[in-house]
Amino acid sequence: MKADKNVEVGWEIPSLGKTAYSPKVDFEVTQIHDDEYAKTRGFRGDLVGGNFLTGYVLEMLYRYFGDHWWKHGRIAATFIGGGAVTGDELVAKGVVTSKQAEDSGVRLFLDIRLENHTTGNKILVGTASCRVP
Amino acid sequence: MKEKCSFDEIEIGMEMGPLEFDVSPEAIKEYRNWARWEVGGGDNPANALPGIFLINHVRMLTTTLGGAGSRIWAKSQHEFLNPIRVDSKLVKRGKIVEKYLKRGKQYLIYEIETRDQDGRLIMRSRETSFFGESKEGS
Repeated sequence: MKADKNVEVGWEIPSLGKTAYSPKVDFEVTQIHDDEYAKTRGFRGDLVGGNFLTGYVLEMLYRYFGDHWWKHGRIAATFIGGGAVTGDELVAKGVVTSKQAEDSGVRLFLDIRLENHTTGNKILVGTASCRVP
Repeated sequence: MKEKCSFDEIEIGMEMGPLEFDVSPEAIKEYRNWARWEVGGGDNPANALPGIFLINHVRMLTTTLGGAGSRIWAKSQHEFLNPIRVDSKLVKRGKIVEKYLKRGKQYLIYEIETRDQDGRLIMRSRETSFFGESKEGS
């Protein structure tokens, strides 16, 4: 389903389920991404980086807004709720909260969130918007 | 990687980068694997994936600050302005714009611009993170 400027406020765009994964990269120095260390600090394992959590939500938004996202997409995310570890089941969601005429189209504003269904916590909340023709 | 510097030594206006990245099919494949990105998205196969290279914002910090670049993400804002084209080259430049203490945590805010090889502005980012202990023990 693609973005529609006539969509009603309150409508939920198609959600996206994702199994969290924390890849190992050679330039990572933050210990919280080290499995053993993270467990000593009370976490269940190495935390998935915030950029990947954002990436999961971006995938949902890109699926909905398509190539409009490239020129008109905006996202503001706050990380909360203890994050995620590899294997956690996550669901990205977005709800249209308002619309505003912009140039030749309409900008849709959304509340976004990423839910960790393994822990029951919201782990990312924020807003996003994109202009659609 | 640069030697670590203390929070006090981090100056507002401190520049990060430039770092260059090739938007190769291999890089896209690697990101697709990391992010478990499934088939779908935009209609134009000449475009990459919006989240690609965001992880390199971490690399920019660690390159600039060493162990002090060991961060836990608090907030992340991105404005997309032009497509990332497959087989293009990206250049990221940034600077630290704010630092503060809150509830005993050392926060940094930094802004990053991503441009392609023609100077076209691809995206603007504003990241907020706080200090996390590094593998060097800083």
